[in-house]
Amino acid sequence: MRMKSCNYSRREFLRASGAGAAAGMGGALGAAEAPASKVALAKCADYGASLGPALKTMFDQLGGLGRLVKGKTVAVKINMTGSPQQRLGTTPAEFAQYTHPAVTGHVVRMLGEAGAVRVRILEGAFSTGEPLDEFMIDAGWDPAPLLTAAPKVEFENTNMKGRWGRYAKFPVPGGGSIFPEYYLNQAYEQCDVLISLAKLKEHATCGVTMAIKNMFGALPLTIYGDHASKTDVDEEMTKGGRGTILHYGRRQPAAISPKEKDPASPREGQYRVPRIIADLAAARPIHLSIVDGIYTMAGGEGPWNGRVWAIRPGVLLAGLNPVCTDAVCTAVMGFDPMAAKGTAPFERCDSTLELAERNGVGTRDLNRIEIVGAPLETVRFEIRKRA
Amino acid sequence: MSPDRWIPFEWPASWRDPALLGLLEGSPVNCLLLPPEAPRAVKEAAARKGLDCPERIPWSLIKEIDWKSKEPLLAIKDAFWPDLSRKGGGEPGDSSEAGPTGAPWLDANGWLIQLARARAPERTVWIKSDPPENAARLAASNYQLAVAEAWTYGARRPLWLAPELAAQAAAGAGNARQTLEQVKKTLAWVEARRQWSAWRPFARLAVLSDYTAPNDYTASETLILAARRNLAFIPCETGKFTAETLRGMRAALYIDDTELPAAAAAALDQFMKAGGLVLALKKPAAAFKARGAAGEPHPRFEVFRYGKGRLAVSKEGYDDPYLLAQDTHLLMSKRHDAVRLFNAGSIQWFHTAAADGKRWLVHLVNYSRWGSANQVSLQSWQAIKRALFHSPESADPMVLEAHRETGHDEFHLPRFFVNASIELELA
Repeated sequence: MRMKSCNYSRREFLRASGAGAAAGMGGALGAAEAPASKVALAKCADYGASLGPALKTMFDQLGGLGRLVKGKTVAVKINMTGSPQQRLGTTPAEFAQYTHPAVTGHVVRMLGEAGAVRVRILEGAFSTGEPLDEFMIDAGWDPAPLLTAAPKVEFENTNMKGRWGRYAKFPVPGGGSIFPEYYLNQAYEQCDVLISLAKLKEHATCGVTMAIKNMFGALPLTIYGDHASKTDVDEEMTKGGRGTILHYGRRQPAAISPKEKDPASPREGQYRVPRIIADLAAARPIHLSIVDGIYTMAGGEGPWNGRVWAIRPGVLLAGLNPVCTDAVCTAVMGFDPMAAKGTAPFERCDSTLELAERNGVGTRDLNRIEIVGAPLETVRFEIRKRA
Repeated sequence: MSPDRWIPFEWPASWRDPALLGLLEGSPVNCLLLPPEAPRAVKEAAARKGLDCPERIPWSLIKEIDWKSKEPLLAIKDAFWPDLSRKGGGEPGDSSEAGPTGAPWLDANGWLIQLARARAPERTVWIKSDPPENAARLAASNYQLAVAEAWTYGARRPLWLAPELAAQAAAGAGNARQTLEQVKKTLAWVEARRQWSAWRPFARLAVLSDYTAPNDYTASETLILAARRNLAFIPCETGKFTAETLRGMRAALYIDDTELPAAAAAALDQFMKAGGLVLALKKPAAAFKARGAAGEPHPRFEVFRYGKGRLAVSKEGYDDPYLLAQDTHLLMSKRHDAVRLFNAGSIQWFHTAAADGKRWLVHLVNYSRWGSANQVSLQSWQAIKRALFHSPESADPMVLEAHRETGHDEFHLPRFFVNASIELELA
């Protein structure tokens, strides 16, 4: 299938991205009503010379970056899950669990070329309040090229409120499943465009992780982290992960957050995390999803999962709607995005795709999603058959 | 024999038979620390074998060390028994105590040995500690870790055997004899490489203090926490500190809340003007006048431009050594870490350089005493010509294959359980 039109207005662009869910559309939409948007696919063998052209082609197929970002402040949420010094064997993190910095670098450069006035690279780094560039150095990266890839590039570790005077509140349209609203670093509010720059992976808790699940790392450790204060937010409390409060519901977040809606709901990550991230996708819309599936890993989202291995699907995906993009990602990995709980890849968890679709963020129905660029069947990488 | 050549063994009180000296054969032990009740026959047999048996070792508590003493031995008796800390805490099922980093605490002595060697460079440093609570269950690797840790940092720990192990070895129990042989092998290995102790520590950070009360607590805690985050440092006594101390450094942290001696202030002034970073409290920082805001907002420091470098002045004092170590590392930037390790877990490393500066040694001490589940890699942004892996667990040094990427070289290390040393020849 080829792209029908690239003449998107910014309003159309935001509508396609599911931004309407946060703009007052309120309750859940039926699957048939959830927005559909095209997804671009590209083969890309490595992070070398072919990477930039592949990304450019995809963005052009989606209508061009300029229409989305010209004159705008752009936030780019990357994925650096887990410790930067933990690797899958000898495989550097960017070839397994992390978004590769070459992808980030090309995207930032193209954002600058497309007229973005400011680009903020964001991540709630694992177990730390250290600056994001220092976290990158711990991964063995040199962050300097990212800072110079576009005219005004900033890094921010969004585990704290940082330079901002307060946290930004994002109510969940329709009231939310677990929490009625989420609090994030203001970098997620003080931007015109939010890009989720994710990795194509399976996930121990959610079955799969791409653009929507990537935003889980945006939830500040000072509020939702294992050692968050039980009363007022303590900006120093940035150690640990997000298991205690978000995965298992063993206690409530810091007092800035309202308490859970239903304390009797299951205390299981497979129930809670898909709901939290599906709600977050509705509360804080993602305008552009880019998924790095060139090199990645199978069996889980990080080296800490049990039986995991490095893989090389050689694929990039991008889309204006995170549910549509993640649905295609799921299909690329050899799964049915319409699968319900109990069926791969959601054997033990609820489907984030289904929950986000119910939230009206976007459709997961491949019959409604226009795929442009490389045909799906040419990039499909049946992840569980490549052990 | 001079004390710097002594390789000591704490003779177990239960060993009454001089024939048990035979259990030390094949080891480099040349010095017996005999308990008062040791039979005269043991001492005589030791003398016949050429072993020294010093009457008195000047063991001292850390706090009571006479740093000005001319004793050739600086013997510290309240070091830690090296291990993952098991003081409690953590989640159920997690037997190791978690530190502020989220990583397990370690009962480690590297900082202490570094401090002792820096303050008394002409003396030979020995450490020992009270027997660990689980002494009866110690494995060979526990003893090997104790020997290797002290050697790594340039000290010695007298070889000590738990009473249970000593009794079993004396009785000829196979397991105990095997444990002793393993420990002797490690001891022989480290003593064959004793010359490496002369290599100088390689670090980008100097930690300045008089290391006496009331500054000793903050100073030593900061060293401990810097070591835990593998922030390489060199402790410097303020009174002995010169511009030469700062050669190759990127940052100097001054701990004390007292004015700097004029010579030290002048050296730091030049260091900052040439591009270095100095962190200090308000009172000593007042010595440095020429300033402009560096435009680096920081929750705990005001950062000023100073020549080509920076001056970071603590806003409220050094309340938390953990934060102080972290702030120092980040203000300096981890980009100045000469090496980094991946999948290191509970491995600490100590980096030294040969006198000619052309070779480095990165000593690795694995406090978990268990091979990492994922292979450990060493990365350096310095170009490396050749890397050799040395370990008592490997028969011969092993040439490591270089994985060269833009901006860094990397080496994947063979699995090891207790200690290893990576010899790097710089390009």
